[in-house]
Amino acid sequence: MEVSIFTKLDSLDRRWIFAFQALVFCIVILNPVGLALNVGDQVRTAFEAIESLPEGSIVWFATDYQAANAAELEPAAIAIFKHCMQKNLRVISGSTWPEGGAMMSRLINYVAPEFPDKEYGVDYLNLGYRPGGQVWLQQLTDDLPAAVGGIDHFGDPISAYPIMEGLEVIQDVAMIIGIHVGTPGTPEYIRVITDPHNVPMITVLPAVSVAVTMPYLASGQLVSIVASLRGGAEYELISGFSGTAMTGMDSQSFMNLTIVIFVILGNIGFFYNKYKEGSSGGGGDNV
Amino acid sequence: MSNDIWVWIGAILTLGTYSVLYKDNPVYRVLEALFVAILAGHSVVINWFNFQKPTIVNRLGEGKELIVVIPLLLAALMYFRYSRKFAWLARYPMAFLMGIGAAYVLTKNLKPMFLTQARATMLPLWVPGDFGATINNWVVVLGVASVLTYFFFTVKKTGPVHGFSRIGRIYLMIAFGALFADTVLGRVSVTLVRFQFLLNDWLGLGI
Repeated sequence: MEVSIFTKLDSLDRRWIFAFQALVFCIVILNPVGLALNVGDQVRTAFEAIESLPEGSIVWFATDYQAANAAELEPAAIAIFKHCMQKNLRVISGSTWPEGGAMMSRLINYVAPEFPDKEYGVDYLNLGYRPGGQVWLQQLTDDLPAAVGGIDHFGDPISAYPIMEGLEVIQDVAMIIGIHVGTPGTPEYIRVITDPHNVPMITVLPAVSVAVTMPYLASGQLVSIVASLRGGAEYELISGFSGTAMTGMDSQSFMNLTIVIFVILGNIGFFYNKYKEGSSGGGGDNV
Repeated sequence: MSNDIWVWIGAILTLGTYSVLYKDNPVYRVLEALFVAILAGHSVVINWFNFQKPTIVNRLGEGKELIVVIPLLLAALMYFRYSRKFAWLARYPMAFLMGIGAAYVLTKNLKPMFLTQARATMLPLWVPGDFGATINNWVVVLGVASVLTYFFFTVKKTGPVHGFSRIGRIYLMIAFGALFADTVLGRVSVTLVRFQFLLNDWLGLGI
């Protein structure tokens, strides 16, 4: 019996789809077509919020993510970090995730070469990871130097760093940039620091976390959400610090289109087969 | 092609991990175990140097802060769970943690997680001069009310209640769809960056 194209579509080996997607990625990465990229309201708000900070203000980078999320979040984090350096802001990072200190070191490695006049301990500082999650965040609101044990990510005393001047509690920072992927993350910061102490926060999130975080934006508990690689690309565009996210947007758009086409084709196959089973009186599952 | 040994290692590990997309294989399993082992080892080392050493060893050894002994003893009691005879001792630190946790959440959650969120849904259903905001507010208010009705189990869902809860169900379906699409988008982003790494950093192709 001849098998229709719709039946083939419905039972297509998913490895063909993976192979096709890989091919699309390779073609578009190697031959970018330069699709238009616009800066959305959220990223514009984030950019303007950082732009409005007075020179010398302290920005707290909450690097609460790990290597597995770096691909999605680093482009935005790097662009924001560079923007802070350009604005002569002081960047201090702390993390509730074990890999957070290493992630901040990666960010510094990306950003520092472009700003040779900026110094560790003067313009930026990596306090690294501390355990305790939300409880540690609470400690930061009571006594920040004590909460980090008086040392930075590398075990050096923070009292020697000029950047720590005027920073006794986390409420002293002008803004929090939360680079979050899970728990502890944005809700914990809102619960313990930003809401009770009115500290403004911009959060950089993976796409999967955006929908569940939107209520905090609607309630005014967040300044803005910079979402995923797309948000990173928009921030690179608006700040003028171009990076990997902008160059990848063509591939992202084509891949999304490919997925939509596959979903439509799969559904056509599914409904066609269902119709055929019904019209031939063959019974089958009434899905 | 790259001359950097670390780029080569990264490329080989990436390709080895993606090999599972063809089918399960020993290379993928080794890499999976490697990933877990590195993560666990990293956490132990970071915990020691970033927290345990400065806050316990230094404070107790050099600072002679004897108060540190109390949490140390409580932590030590946790290990009695491995003894059938003395397992009950492990309940004290657990009770301590649960008591603090419950009290902490109760005191911290009310305003930011409930009152502020609830207030954000109490929106004017007519915004003069801003038709878009009016529609937006209707969508939010209708969504919150209908979804809450959907999860209201003490009233039999018949008549208008049934109809309204169906609207809530549609809202939930749209929300799940958006969440799933966001998940796909995130995975595409991660894959994209790995492909950029393979093509640009490793093979030296592309822009």
